[in-house]
Amino acid sequence: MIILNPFHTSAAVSQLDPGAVIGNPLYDVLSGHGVAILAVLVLPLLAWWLGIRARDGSRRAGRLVAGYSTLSPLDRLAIWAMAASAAIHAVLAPGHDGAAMAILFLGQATLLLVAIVRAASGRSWRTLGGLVLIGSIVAYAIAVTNGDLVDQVGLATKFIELVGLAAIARGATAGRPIRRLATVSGLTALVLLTSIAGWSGSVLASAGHGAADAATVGVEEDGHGGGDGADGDGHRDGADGDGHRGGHGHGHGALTGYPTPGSVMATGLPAEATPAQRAAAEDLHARIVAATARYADPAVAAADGYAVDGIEGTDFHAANPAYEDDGRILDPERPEDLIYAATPDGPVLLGVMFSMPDDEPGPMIGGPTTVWHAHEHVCFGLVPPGLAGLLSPLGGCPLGAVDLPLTNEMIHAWVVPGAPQAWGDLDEAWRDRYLAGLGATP
Amino acid sequence: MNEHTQPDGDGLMEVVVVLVSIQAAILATGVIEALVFTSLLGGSALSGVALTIAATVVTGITAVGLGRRVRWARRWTLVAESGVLALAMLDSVVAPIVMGADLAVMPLLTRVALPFVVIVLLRRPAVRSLFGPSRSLEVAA
Repeated sequence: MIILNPFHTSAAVSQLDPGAVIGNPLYDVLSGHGVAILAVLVLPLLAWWLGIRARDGSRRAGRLVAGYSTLSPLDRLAIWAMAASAAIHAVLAPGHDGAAMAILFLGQATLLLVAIVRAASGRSWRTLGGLVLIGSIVAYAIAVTNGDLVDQVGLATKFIELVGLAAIARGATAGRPIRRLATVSGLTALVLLTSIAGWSGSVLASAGHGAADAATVGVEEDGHGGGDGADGDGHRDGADGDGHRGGHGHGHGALTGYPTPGSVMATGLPAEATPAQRAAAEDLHARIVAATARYADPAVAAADGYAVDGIEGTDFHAANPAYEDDGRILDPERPEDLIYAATPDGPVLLGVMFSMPDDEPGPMIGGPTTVWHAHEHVCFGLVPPGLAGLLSPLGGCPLGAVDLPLTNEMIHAWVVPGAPQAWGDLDEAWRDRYLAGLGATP
Repeated sequence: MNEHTQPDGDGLMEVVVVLVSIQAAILATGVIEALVFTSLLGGSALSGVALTIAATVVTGITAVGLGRRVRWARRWTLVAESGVLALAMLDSVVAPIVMGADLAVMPLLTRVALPFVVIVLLRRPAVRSLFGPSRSLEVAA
């Protein structure tokens, strides 16, 4: 059952119970990072306490409060952003692996604190604050592309730092249009860097390049051999993202690590199905192949209510709205979607997709060979209706699209002759070779 | 900073300009993201690219207009931010709660908190006064 709590905490994969349903940490708050949110919320209380100390006659507090009250709103914004970043790094320092990272975090927090105190004391602080914030953003990009896990707290911290940096830059370039243009360009580049870091880190986490706790990421493909994600050798064809129309490509079989961004599925399942599970899966698959053979002709599919108009690409999902809420689950005669590839000789039926009603888990009749998945934070375009991407690490969808936070569960079954996988994701390289053999251009 | 203590409204307007500029930078990044998705997903995502490009350009121009204290820029920003906020409340707050999904932090920051702060600041009297008297007052005068 898919249960994602508000500000869902993503634990280390190795700490999860077998079968636990998880998404990519890109959209979650990593275990241990929740305290950073609390640290930021405590900051106004600290400021209030400082004000009380000043009123009670503390000289140092009085000087800081007096200095702060003379600052412009722009400088105050920068100071609050620096304070938030410092607080987050300070509280997260103990939880990070390795003394070097902890020292870096504490060093960053200390330098920002120095900049804040200097600002409130009327001394120069912008260069120090700006350089530390730039360093923090660049260091994050390097860290997540080298194994650190990307999550919502990390991205939110970078957003806060970008706001602080923009405030510092705006204040420092008043009346200097050329310099201001340069800083705007630089800021845009840092925003882009943050986005790239978010995508890269999330894909790497799902491809077995993640942090130590994700080192076992990998997928056993329907018992046909499998992914030791630690070697990152790409056994998961889902690892290259939600490609093509239909947006699938998220690993399949027994996932033992993080899913690709936008996918939600069970992890930590046994790699091998029991003989009974394997037999059940094979029996169901055979019945699906037999029952859907008639849909090789799209006209027959259209007559049964499938939306086959405009078949294009190699992963076209033709839905049948009448079957979506018909109360039948895994009915070989009534799959909710048919999957076609367009070829010069006409559409080729590759497989089918079964969907579950909202909030209901799919029955894993084949154990780890029939793992259902859902999608999270899918951007659905309204004009025209269709998949428009995934929610950006920066928190938005392309304009004209809405964020679907969580879909119902679904599973693919492949009926095309010779398919290397019966369930889950179809090997894209094999599919392309197969279609090329038919004269198609994938 | 002591050396350029500004009138309250001016100082707040600078904050607005910074926040709207950040929005423009995020939208510009969104264009690149949308282009990547279009290359993967095909034509269905193309309208998202076009709309995001348009929004980036408009937001960038608006940020410049706000910096110059142009009246239409304030008015347009209020309308646009209200629209962004209303949509974000639906698909980043209400929808996840209704669907039992997780609330992501980033949409709350960039699509809820940021537009909300911009709207609040632009509606403050000190900021409003920077854009001159309202048309009704001009007519009355």
